[in-house]
Amino acid sequence: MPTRVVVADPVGLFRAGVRSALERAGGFVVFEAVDEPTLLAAVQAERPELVLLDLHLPPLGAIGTLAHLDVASGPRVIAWALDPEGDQVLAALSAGAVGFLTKDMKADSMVRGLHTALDGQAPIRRSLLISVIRSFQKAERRDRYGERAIKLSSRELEVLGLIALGTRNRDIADQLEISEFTVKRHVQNILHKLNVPSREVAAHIYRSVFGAEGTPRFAVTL
Amino acid sequence: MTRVGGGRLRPLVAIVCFAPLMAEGIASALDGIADARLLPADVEDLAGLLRTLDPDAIVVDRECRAAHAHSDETGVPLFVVPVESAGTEVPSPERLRALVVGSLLAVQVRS
Repeated sequence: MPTRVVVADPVGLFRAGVRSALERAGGFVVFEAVDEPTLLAAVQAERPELVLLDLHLPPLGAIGTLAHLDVASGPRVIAWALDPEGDQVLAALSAGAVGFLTKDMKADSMVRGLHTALDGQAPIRRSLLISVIRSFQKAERRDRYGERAIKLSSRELEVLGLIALGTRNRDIADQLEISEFTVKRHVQNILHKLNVPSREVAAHIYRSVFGAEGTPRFAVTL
Repeated sequence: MTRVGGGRLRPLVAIVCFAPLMAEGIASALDGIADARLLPADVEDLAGLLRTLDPDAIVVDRECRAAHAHSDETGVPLFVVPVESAGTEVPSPERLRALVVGSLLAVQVRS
């Protein structure tokens, strides 16, 4: 019984390349999808065992598309992209993809990847592993820091935000219209609550949680 | 179609690709109209290889100095089919096929 595969990719030449490689390998029936609606229709009509899903599949990309696929009892989804960031791979895996391949791989490697997924394992390009691990560690650290940052009051967060921008205590006092003594007290509280030895480390935590420009990456409950 | 140089019965298209599966897709788009020769973009002495192959057209999936130089030198048509689709339109297999056929015919007419 051949394996049914849907190749979901907006680039026709890639779809043609995968189709050609799989037909040469044998044992596969290939269906094609150019975007999410055609993918969902193909999945419903053909009941494929596998989906090869482009990271940038229109209109929502792989992460958005995965939310509309039944990854628990439906096909095994393998995401792929040309040169993905670790964060993108991690996001696709978190959203339900069982593996991640890259578009610069050779045809036989891609076929092996699909067989790996069929065997219930997780095909992932070796070259992606280190960036995925780094992204995972970064996300863990951000969560951990985030938990500590939640302990801060809104005024302390305000002070820490200014520290992260390199602002001195006197200037923080001027900007917030409080005394320098009060700023120092806030700084001591911040260091105590975050359990860090210096304002530089506290600033690093702030940037890890809120980003370099101070853009919040999660909703802080105050 | 007869080949002007090399005495080939069908045109030869060199496909110089960074992404082998893209190359496979391009080759399959040209199936029946040309013989495709797949060359990895990082192959050693690509310029020399192109001179030896003497293709009738070249397709690349990203900018390639050796392919451009060969095209400038010989007048062989060169098609850049960007492997990264963001912001650029990648031609469909049918469109690429039509482009290559058109340009091979133009070369034949000119010669």
